[in-house]
Amino acid sequence: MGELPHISSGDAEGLLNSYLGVGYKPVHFSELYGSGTNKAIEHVGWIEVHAENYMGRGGLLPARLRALQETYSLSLHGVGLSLGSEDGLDKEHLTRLVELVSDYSPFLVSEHLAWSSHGGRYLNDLLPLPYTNEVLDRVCRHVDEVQSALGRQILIENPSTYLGFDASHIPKPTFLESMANRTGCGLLLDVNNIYVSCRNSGVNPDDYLDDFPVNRVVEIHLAGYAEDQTPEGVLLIDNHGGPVSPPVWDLFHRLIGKTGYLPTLIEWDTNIPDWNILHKEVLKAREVMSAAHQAYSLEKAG
Amino acid sequence: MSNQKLFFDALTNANFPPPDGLTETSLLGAISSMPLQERFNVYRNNVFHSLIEALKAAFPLVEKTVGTAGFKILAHDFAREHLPSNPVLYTYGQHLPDFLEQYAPLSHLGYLPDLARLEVSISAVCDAPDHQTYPAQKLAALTETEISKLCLDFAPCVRIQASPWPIHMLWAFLNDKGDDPIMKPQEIMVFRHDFSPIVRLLPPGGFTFLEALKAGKTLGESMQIVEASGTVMPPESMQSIFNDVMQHDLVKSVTIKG
Amino acid sequence: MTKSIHALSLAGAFALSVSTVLTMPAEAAKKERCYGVSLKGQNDCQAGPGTTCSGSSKVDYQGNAWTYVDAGTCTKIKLPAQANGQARMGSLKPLDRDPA
Repeated sequence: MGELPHISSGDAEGLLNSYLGVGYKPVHFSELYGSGTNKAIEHVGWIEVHAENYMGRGGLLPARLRALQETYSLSLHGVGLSLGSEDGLDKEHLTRLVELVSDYSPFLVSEHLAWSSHGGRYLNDLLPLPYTNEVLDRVCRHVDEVQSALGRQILIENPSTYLGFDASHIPKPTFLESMANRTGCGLLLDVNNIYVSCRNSGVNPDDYLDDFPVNRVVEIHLAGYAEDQTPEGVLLIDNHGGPVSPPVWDLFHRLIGKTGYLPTLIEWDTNIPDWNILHKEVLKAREVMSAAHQAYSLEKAG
Repeated sequence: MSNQKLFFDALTNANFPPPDGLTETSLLGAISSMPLQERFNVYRNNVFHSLIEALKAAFPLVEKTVGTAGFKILAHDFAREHLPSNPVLYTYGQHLPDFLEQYAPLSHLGYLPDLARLEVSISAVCDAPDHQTYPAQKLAALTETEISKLCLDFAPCVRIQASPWPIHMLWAFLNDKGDDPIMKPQEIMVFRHDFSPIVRLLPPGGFTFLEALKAGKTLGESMQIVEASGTVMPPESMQSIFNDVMQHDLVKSVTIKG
Repeated sequence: MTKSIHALSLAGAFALSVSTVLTMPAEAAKKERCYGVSLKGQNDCQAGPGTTCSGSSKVDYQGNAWTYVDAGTCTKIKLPAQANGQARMGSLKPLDRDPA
């Protein structure tokens, strides 16, 4: 499970900070490292990187990541395991992940409900899956395989989708819940992905969230989207290229109201801004999480 | 045929329509104005855009040489023919030099494949696995005979390249550090020092010498191979190579061939 | 005779490099340099190509004809078409390209 090493800091402020994370980009190293003072930047408890970018690698990037680990907890977010692949898991890639997890001892390890490899070729995108019993069986088999290779729980993220399949007959929240129940995996809930997918497929995001198995959620992602305007209409693109949008903050508030504090990450992967702009998003997440958590506590007490 | 095979084929062939069985809405979905083709194009675009970006990051000098728009076309043509074989994308693009050898639109830039090889080497030395420093003290008391029987096991952060082109001058020119390149063959050694890549011009015979050493020959044997090739390597040349090897920690271990 | 001089110079060059590195002072502020905080400019090891879990909002995979593109720095480099001086076939001609 997701244990936060910094959680021991006792006071309520420190507790809240320990839940806030950022997707680490090498351009922000100096700010996060703080010139070697080993003092965490305000209100940031953990960082997350893509596992693939550190596999088998030496040199500057891994050295910097290890330097940051002195101050921040680390989460490894895989994008390439292709858990939904008809081909079966790539054993070599799984071995790379096992070695990486053993080298860096992250507090969380996550992957996606998607496929990206076929016939030994890798498409650098998270491709969609139909929600059928066959696919559920396949994904569960692969999640089991990964968890037993790693000897620990992994979290599975719901990716953004731009289309569906005629064959799908299981609602996505139900699919995720079954997967979590059968494999014991946790869920990584990307709130932006919920919003993007719902808008793209004509579903009410609030209803979707109400159906979501939130008790299985161990980590939350927040990011910005772009609007692709065409003569036929608008498609939301999960581009991680801007601030989190107001309706996504509202959904996040609604979610924390159900779950209480959860490790929450700001992702900003394209058009990467200066650190202070990214940091503002962290502060905003802190504010929303704090307010929503109060509502959650009151409800629990009542 | 599998569903993912059909999806894969449609994604990687621009003239293919989306496969059957896709829909605009998910279960419970209601409104949809965006046609399926547009939706499918998002995935196709994501794949090729991200791979082009990956190649841009790995080949900044090739991009500078052919221009931004030209590089995008080159990268797209390459990506369609050479999709990554695994998700470790920091190694993606190793086949670009060979691809460029056969790439007609840029065949007038004969030096481009070697420039791409240099950039593959720069990435490779930057990302090479870390190694333990070999303690130089252990080499201090070697006799002349022992030195000539020495084999050096190089660290993975060293690459060498021999080019019929002025590859070092091209590299310097494109980094705004040198004059216009003039035509002459050059040999280079690329290695990592601390965390920066260093591109070193090798003296005549240097490539042959290092190539022999890397193949497991002793110092003495490697020297003889250089001599047999008709090149005279003065002590200063050898010294400059040994200085880089020792000062920049380029050796993992040594053995003395009995 | 020649051989022994070469052997001698080989051993001498090697020994001199070893002794030079042994007399070099221990590097100060190694840690800061290790993390590359002070590194600046093009000569650093960059992050390089990476994976993505996000989409692209720009449609830019469409092929363009080579005839219309900027030439970059290539026109500034005055080198023959081939290392041996011979011209190569097929310079800067547009390829037959599919629309996307």
